Amino acid sequence: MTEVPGLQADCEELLGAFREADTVRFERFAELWRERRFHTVFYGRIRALERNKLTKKTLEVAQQYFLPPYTFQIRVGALYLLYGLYNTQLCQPKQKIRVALKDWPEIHKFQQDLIDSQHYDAAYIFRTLRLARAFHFTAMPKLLNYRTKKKFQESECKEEFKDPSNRVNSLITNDVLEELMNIHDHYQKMKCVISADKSQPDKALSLIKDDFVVTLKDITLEHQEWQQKRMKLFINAKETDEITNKKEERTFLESEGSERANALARIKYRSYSAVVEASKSRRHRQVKLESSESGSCYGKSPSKKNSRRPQPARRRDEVQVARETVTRHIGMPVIMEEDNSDEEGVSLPKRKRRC
Amino acid sequence: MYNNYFLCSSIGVLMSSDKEEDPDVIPEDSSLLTLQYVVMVHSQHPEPEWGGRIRKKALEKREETIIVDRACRQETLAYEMESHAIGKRPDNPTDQVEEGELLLTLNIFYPVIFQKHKDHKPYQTILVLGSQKLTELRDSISCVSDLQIGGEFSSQPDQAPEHISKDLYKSAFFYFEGIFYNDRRYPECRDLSRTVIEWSQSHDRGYGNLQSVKMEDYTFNDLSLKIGFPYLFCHQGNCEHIIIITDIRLIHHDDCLDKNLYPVLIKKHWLCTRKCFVCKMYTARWVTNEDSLAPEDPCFFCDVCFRMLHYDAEGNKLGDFLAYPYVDPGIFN
Repeated sequence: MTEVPGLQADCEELLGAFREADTVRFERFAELWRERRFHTVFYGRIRALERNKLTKKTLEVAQQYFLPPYTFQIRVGALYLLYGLYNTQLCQPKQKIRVALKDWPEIHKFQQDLIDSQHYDAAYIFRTLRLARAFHFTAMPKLLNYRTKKKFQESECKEEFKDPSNRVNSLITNDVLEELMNIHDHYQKMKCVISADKSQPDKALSLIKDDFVVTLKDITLEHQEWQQKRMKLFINAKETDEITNKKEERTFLESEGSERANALARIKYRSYSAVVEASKSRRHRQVKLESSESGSCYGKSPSKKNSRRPQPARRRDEVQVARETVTRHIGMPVIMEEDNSDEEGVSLPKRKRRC
Repeated sequence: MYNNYFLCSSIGVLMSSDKEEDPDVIPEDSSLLTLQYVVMVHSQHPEPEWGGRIRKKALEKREETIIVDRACRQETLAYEMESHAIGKRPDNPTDQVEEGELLLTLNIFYPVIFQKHKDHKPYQTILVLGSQKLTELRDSISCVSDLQIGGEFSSQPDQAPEHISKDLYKSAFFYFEGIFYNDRRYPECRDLSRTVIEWSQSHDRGYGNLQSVKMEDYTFNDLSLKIGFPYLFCHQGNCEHIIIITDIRLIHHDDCLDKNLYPVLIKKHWLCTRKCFVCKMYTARWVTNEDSLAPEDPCFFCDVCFRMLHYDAEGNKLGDFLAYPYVDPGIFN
């Protein structure tokens, strides 16, 4: 089935307007639908064979917004959209909406969420579709067709519609933290057992930070907050993008440049003046501060840690400073180094950390 | 629990009911991009008031060049095939497909390999039920090689035998997931897959354990299949068809629920029939080689022209030639 030009743009426009309306009520959606007279998307003097193909394609495009990773509001909007398209299609008998086996539990959960949050209109719409037998229960989500595509078309999801990807949270769940805590306690107890002094482990055995589970939890929470802030800033930035004209952008960039230069200088000063004492595990490799004038030879400083720290820190710090002036670039938050001897630079994802 | 007003007005709110709408006419004031791509130059609106839009452009172009605006016979045929079985119910309730039955969509490709088919190899699409045996699918696959009549009949054109290859060579097999399903219903059927299995076992060729079983003992529900993966159907000893399963889904209320109609053919590639070289009207039934009376080798003739050219009034053979009965692939159109 070839693409239907303009269809995805229309659907995204309608869903975008629904998102702006900041509601999940069907009445609001119906108003937006009526404004655009969306049911006319099937018009155009098409004969039966092509109409079937077109309708199938339309339902397929709308259906992709119904599943994760889209946000709750977009998914409700997609449900309404499917309802509208299914009922206003011109095919007889009606073309159905394909639901794959793997997606069905998700959809079931979604319906349960709707009922639990008392969005009864959305739940009713879904129930109506079920009763009208609007679904085909298939093994695979997309019907295969064998046309060699000249260009490989990547399906692009609109960033704003998507739920922020929650990979950190799905990795560090409460269960995982609890498990870690238990293992940690167990480990501490084992150390005590084999130590000379039964009440606390030998100093030689303290290779990890005692409170790393709590730290991990804090980091995860902070990441989540950062992500939410980033989404907001991203949306704001997009809006400001549209209203600033080129001239303003240029001056913006210029001031950005000078800001960056200042930020760079500040960071370099900071990182070279501050030296963290190595943790006990690394006490054979103490940090020595060597003064260096230009930035280009900081890579040659004696300590392994010191050489690697400034680079990523610089990127993050500069970006964070830049964030205050330009809402376009949003960097990861820098977790400030604690002033005790146990702490190394935290949250450098590329480097292997020894906890 | 649910708002009652939905019952009556939910679909109504989606359509504007202020005026009668003709689905063929694209509204002029539409803001939809899809329609901006469609617009129809209707006779009542000779000039569009706004700039080029996609569907509009497409239709405009079509309007300019089209002579007769009607579905061509291929399109009619394709639509008919796709929808002829929809919604059918059996006369006998025991023949009704049960709920929870699976419906598989298979693409069966034509055996010939031409360069022109590089991008889109022609195929037929068949719907089959999960509870049906493999033999039912085998019987429903129509391939022109089944109808071939072997033998040279230039000296005795009237005695072209009635036996077609389908009756003579009944063996066939399917290959799914490392197992060959052989048709062993008739005593003449042989295990065609034996050669392959022996070859694979003779050295360590990396194909694992290939097995051979009887086709008539298995239904589609017994198989584990991959969607989109090419499998094989082989008959007549060397006529091979690739089979690809494009879809598996649960049977639906609107589908055809008459078990006897399955497997049902819903899509077929339209093949042009080769016409007689002389009259260019009738489908060719004979093909000749090394024919001194024909301008090209091989040359195709319909029955009447063939006899008129190659035999005199008494039925004696004129000239030197070899003649074979010809079955055109387009015979299934």
